[in-house]
Amino acid sequence: MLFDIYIPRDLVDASEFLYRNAPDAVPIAGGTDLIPMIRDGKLRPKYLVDLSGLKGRLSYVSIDSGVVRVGALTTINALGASALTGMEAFLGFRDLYRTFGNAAVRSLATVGGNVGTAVSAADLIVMFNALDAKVGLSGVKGSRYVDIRELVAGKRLLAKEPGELITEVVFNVPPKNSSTAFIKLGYREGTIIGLTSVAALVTVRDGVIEDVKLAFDRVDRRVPGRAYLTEKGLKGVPLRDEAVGGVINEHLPREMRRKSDYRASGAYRLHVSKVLARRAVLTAGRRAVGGG
Amino acid sequence: MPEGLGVREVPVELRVNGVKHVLRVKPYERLLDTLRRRLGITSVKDGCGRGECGACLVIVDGELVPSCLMLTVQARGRDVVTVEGISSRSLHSIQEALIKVNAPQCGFCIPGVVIAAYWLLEVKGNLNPSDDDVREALSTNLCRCGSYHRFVKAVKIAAEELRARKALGARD
Repeated sequence: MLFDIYIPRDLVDASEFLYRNAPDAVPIAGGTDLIPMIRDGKLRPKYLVDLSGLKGRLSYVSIDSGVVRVGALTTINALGASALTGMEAFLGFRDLYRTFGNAAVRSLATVGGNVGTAVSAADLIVMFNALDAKVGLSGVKGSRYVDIRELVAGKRLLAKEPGELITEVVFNVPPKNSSTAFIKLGYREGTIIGLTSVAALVTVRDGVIEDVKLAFDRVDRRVPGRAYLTEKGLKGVPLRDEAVGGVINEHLPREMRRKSDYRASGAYRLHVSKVLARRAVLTAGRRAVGGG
Repeated sequence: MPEGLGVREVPVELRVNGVKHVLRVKPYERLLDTLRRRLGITSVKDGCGRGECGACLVIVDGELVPSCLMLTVQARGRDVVTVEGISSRSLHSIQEALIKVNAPQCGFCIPGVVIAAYWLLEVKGNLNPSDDDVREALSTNLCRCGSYHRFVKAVKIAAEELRARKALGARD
């Protein structure tokens, strides 16, 4: 583990340094993913750009006029303690917080860092997919917002320009009678790479699913994505176990391609995806109508 | 030249257990290595090196942190607490309780457990933790001897002791 470190004065300075030294310079926030990557020899950066000094500016959770903004350097602990997890519509973040890493990792790991990993095991990418989140980027040519699905272009691949840094994640507060749920299955509760994870955002009207967003750690790519076919099938379906389960069992296998690896077989992952999707949709739906 | 770049050693000032240290460290030096090798604070153990075992836990500005994942440069200007800092004169209630229930066997994980428990009881101030609160706070700590149930018991005993002491203090 050999590298030099650059301590930027501000965000612009950090971007300029990263731009000048691309691809040899890599930003470090919490380091909970980056340090193990470097130790494993999977990444050999010449420079790390330490973002910890920018925390004052980029750590916030604001909810204003129906829009949620989460600063990139907000730690998972800060996110878990924010007003967001207390809102009925965002109970999914409470689910996510509970199974994210472990108590110590959550105090270092950041929201922007989790998005920046661009891996299927990044729980927040799954959740942000269900919320149609946009990611704020800031670089030497100014700042812009991109859809999370556009940014996370492939495994460990972000569709961004050299020097661009993730500054925040933005999403809307869902309409009334909506809520979220997040479920991750692994071999134990903490410090795991999930076998399968799912996030659901459900809007209910008169006991029927009016709208649903269903995101998984993987659907047909090696990064988190949405199950659009299944979503379409679920619209107008009554919020009942058999009805929801039936639609998911019918549609999900048509759009989901699961790979086998040493953790689990593709067939098992598909089966678990169906079960977890049903539970997530029903949980989010019940929460949406105030039934916890 | 901008600060930090091209300098093989970076000046860092940090407080450890209330004592200010002015050091020059390698850019890639982990807080864990600085504590153990430069400052001789050996309660902090080098376990997995990837934030999964909790043997290297310390408290940085009130947060529970695996010191194997934090670069010393990132700890600049911050306040670090280790087991040495919470039991310099006598054992802390948490340590007493761990001994009482015979929790330490090989002992390697114990400093991390003490720190995680201290964070729950004294930093977060939860002096009436449920079993789940304790398990959650200790979710980083792996113990190959399997003393998990004893940890929960010990932390609850320590909490009771601290509660009683606080009530006594309030009466004085």
